[in-house]
Amino acid sequence: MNNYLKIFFVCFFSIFVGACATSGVVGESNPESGKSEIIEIQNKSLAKKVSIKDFKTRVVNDLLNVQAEIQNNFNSTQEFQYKFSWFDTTGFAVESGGDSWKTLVLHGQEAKTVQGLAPNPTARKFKIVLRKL
Amino acid sequence: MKKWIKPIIVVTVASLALGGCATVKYGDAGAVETTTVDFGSTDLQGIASKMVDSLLTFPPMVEATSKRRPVMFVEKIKNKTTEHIDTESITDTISTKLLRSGKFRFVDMTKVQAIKKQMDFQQDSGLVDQSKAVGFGRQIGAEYMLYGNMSSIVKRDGSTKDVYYKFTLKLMHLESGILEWQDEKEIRKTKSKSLFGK
Repeated sequence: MNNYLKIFFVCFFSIFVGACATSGVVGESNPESGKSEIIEIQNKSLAKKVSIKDFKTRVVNDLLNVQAEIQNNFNSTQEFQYKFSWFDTTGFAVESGGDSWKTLVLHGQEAKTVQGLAPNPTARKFKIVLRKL
Repeated sequence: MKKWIKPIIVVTVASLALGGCATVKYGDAGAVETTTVDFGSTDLQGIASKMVDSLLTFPPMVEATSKRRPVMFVEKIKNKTTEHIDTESITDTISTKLLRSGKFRFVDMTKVQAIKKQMDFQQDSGLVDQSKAVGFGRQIGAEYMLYGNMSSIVKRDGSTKDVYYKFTLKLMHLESGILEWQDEKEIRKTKSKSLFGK
C-alpha cells in the first residue's frame, strides 16, 4: 500500500472517530440495600481516566439526596459530563428525561463531589453516568 | 499511485461531503449546548436544577413542607441583562420541578382574568346548574411569593468574549414580608475566536 492510501485511510477513520460521542461509565447506588457499585463500563479509556470513589446518600425532606466523589486518575485536566437518573423501588424510572447533562472539569489527580436531589419522594435508588464528548 | 485508488478517494470524499447536506435529526434536549456564549438551554437547566435543589433542602423550608404543601405564586424574574431572555421559561421549569416534587402548590396569576370570566359565566349566565357551579370566594391565597432577577457582565478583549450571568431567586413569606430563602447561581462563559473563525 503506498503512502497516499495510508494517509487517506487515517484521515477517513479519524473523521468517524472524531464525530462519535463516547458512551460512559455507569454507577448505581441503592441506599436500602446499602449497595453502591460501578455496574457498567462502556468506555474502558474513560474508566481508566476517572473513577467514582465514593457514593453517599441521605434522605432530606423525603427526597433522596446523593453525592458521588469523582477522581481524575491522570495528571492532565479532564473535562467530561455526568447525569443522574432516578428509579423507584420497583426499578421504574422516575421523571425520566428530567435531568440534564452537566459538565465537570477535573484538574490533574483532582477529586470533586457532585450532588443530586431526587425529583420526588418515590425515587429510592439512582444511577450516575459519566461520559466524555 | 495505482489507477483504482484515485476514483475511490474521489467517490468517498464526495459522498461524505454530499451526505453532510440537509440532514435533520433529533438531538438530546438535556445535552450540554455550547453553540454560542449567549444564554442557552444548558444555562436554563443548570439554574432551575440548582434553585430547586437548594429550596427543597433548605432546613426551614424542609420544616415548612414536611407536613403540608404551601401555596406559592411566581412573580416575574427581572431581566437586567442586555440579552433577550425568556425568564418566564426559567420560572416555568422551576415551578414544574417544585410542583412535581410534591412539596409545593401554585396559583397561576396569569390566568386570573380567565378564571373570573369562567366563574362569571357559571354564576350569571343562567346556563349552569347552580348546585354544581363554582362559587366565589373559595380560592386559596398564596402563602409565598417567588421572584428574582438576572444580571450579566459582558467583557470583550480582541478575540475573546467573556459573559458572566448571575441569577438570584428569592422566596418571600407574604404575611410577614420576611425573605424565607434566597440563592443565586453564577455562570461564566468565554468564547475565543480561532485564527480562521468568525
